[in-house]
Amino acid sequence: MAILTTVGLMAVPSFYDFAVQYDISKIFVLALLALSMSFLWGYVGILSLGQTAMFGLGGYVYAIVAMNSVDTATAALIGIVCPTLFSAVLGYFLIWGRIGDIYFSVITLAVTLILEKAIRATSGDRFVIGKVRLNGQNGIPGVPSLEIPWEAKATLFIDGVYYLTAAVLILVYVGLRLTLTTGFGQVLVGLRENRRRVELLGYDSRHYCLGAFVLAGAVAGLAGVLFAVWGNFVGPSLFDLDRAAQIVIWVIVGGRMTLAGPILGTALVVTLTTWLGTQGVGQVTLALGAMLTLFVLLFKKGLLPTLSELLSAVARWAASRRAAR
Amino acid sequence: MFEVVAIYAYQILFSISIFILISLGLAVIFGMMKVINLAHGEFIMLGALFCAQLAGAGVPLFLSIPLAGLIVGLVGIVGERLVIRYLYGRVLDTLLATWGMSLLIVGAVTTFFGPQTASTPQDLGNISLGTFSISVYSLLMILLAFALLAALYLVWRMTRAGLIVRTTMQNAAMAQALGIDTDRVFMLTFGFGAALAGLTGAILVPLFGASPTMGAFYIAKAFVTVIAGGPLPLTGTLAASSLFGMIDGAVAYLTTSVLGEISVLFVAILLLRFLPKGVTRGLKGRV
Amino acid sequence: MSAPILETRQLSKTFGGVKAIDRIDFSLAPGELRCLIGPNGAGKSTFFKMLTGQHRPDGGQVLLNGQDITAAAAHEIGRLGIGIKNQIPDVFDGLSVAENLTLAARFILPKAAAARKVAEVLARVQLEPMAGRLVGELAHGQRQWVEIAMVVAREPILVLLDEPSAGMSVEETARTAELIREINREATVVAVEHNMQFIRSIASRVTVFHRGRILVEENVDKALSDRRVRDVYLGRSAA
Repeated sequence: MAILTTVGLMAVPSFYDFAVQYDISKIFVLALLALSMSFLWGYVGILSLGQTAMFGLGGYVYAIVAMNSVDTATAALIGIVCPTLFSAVLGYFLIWGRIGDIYFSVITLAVTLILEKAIRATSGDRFVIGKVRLNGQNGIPGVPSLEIPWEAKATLFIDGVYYLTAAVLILVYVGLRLTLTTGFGQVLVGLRENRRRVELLGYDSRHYCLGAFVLAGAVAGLAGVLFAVWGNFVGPSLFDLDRAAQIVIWVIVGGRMTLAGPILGTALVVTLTTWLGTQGVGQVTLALGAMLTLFVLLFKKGLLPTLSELLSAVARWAASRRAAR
Repeated sequence: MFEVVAIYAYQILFSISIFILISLGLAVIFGMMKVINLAHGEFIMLGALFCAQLAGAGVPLFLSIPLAGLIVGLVGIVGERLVIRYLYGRVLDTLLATWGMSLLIVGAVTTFFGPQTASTPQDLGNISLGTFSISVYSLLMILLAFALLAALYLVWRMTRAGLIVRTTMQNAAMAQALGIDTDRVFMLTFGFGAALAGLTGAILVPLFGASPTMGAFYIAKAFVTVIAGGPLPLTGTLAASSLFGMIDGAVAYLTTSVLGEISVLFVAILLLRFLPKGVTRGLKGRV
Repeated sequence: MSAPILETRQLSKTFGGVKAIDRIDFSLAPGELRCLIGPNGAGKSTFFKMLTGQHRPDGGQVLLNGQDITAAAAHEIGRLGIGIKNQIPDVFDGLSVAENLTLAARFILPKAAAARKVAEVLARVQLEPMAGRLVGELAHGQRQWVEIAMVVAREPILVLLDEPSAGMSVEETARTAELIREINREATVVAVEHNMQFIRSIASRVTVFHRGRILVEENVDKALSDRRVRDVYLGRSAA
């Protein structure tokens, strides 16, 4: 199944034009962001609403470093390291402060909103880093794509970005799945199930929470870098409340207790909102709001688990029919 | 010299009163009812919008403001009946569902009223203080903020309704056994909190205008204030508003307003690192 | 008598004006198997929770092998080798039995050794057929065993069991008694219990709690025949 999907995805550029590849690459990048949240929320039980902070930081840092004519691979690396460090510092303060889970969600949300405001206020000549003007509201255009290491002066084009984002998504997905099978990952799942018991067994839950938060921060930062590479642009909307809400919606629609669900959820919701966006102003937000409220009230598990329950019910029914005959 | 001190004091009081106003409704809904209401900013926005619409239709401002608050209170009650009441006790779900409501409201307002900013003029004039001038409306707003907080405190502590609400929030099962219709208490308290938020929006509209996305501007500040305030919602809101208002007012006056907000958040996170239960923790049971 | 493995000095805890634990001096010799008894609300579970960092004492000290652990966090105490089975089964309901035990064993052992440990402990509590089942799906008694097995898999030096036989059938209770005697070959054990027959089958010495204080500390038969103990405890339950 997984291999079939992989092969199918890799064959897309041979059949579809650049416009389709461009749209799908965006979904891959955003699905990474969704993964960073569902890993934390579905498996460790921490809901960080500040994954957009790491996403935006990753994008901005990549843009600024790359446009200061450092080679793009180094820029990408720095673009991942910075949000990782940031989540380590933020996580330290929040987790060692032992604030409640719910406050963790609210404060992380506040952090990304403040970052957004800070970026929006950087218009004018005072805010220049190296050769790059931050441009406040308007964002930074002309962010370079990744250079191809084995071809001088060449950068990734749309199909290249497609392959890259697809490969990264698959690698991160597999990586997170493997992480969950390690001792570290098992403790994380234990934390979700029963934090007190984990502590009584001798594990310092704070280290594990921080570890998971930093890992998720790195994935979100990576998504941010790829987003800048994909769109050749970064702006304050990388951090904003709408995006933060959308990640939650992708995850909750797909099913937060799985890692595949959020990828599916991202694909569905992004496709839907892109289409709605062409229909008029206001409807996207309206639809997203309705989706979020409905899923919380009625389908808390999300689509993928609901679907698989349905399938296994059908299978059981078919089996009982066969047995009866 | 006197003028500089006065204008400085005014700036800080202004900033504190904004913190109080935007936190009041949340202090009721989140502080007392423990519902993480992410639609709080949208309740403020609706108050501003309705007030601007009413004033635009010729209703006098001093009437438009309470009317707008009332309408938002009704909106809150509708939201409570349709969504929130199924989620009491499931904190995280209330957060997500109210976030959905917040997006719904923004989407609906944008669809029906358009994305532009509406503004409402006020004609109370200015007082001049040497080279500076202060708008009378802002001074009134400062007074109103403190008056509202005091009134809320009195209702909460001194009236029968306040007692019923406190009983219900502390132990709903017990309150029910005493013959209180807790379902109604929850509904009305939520509506009351929403009305306070609407009132805030209406009070602020002559100063800042009304646009569909303005809620996002207040939500972070409001939550940080109520969380940092700790277990005593009203005393805590006053304490945290004063602290954050002072920091925000001073830093914003000296540098930029964004730096003011960033410093507030920074202080809030430091505060929570060392006082994870909020500033009124040690006072619990005393006030 | 050798130096105590566990000692409390003047340990106290107040909940809203009620003295749940009132200046308790308690001492336990290495290798002992002690039972704590006393009516509901006597402070036994609170006492356990203070020994394991789940409640912070208001006053007094807890010493483990002479080391002051009064202010230690729950995970630090866990590392020092105190394991506890709480009164209400405190397990990972969403994980399988094997995963529960692995989580416990992996803390002290590398992967392969942990797997051997899990198999060994599973055999001891006779839950091998259940290894792949989710703990949340098991019967109450089996979940108690999973929790005891988790405690044992950590190779603790001191095991605290809060009502290990609660809600178990007669056979299950007998097996649990056997299990506890086995655990006691490697670790010091303290158990809170109500079942007198069970207590007689495992312990030689009991400590009787009453209103946050130690009423009597004696060998089983003497304690159970003590008039004061009968008054506060057996007097009522035997009536």
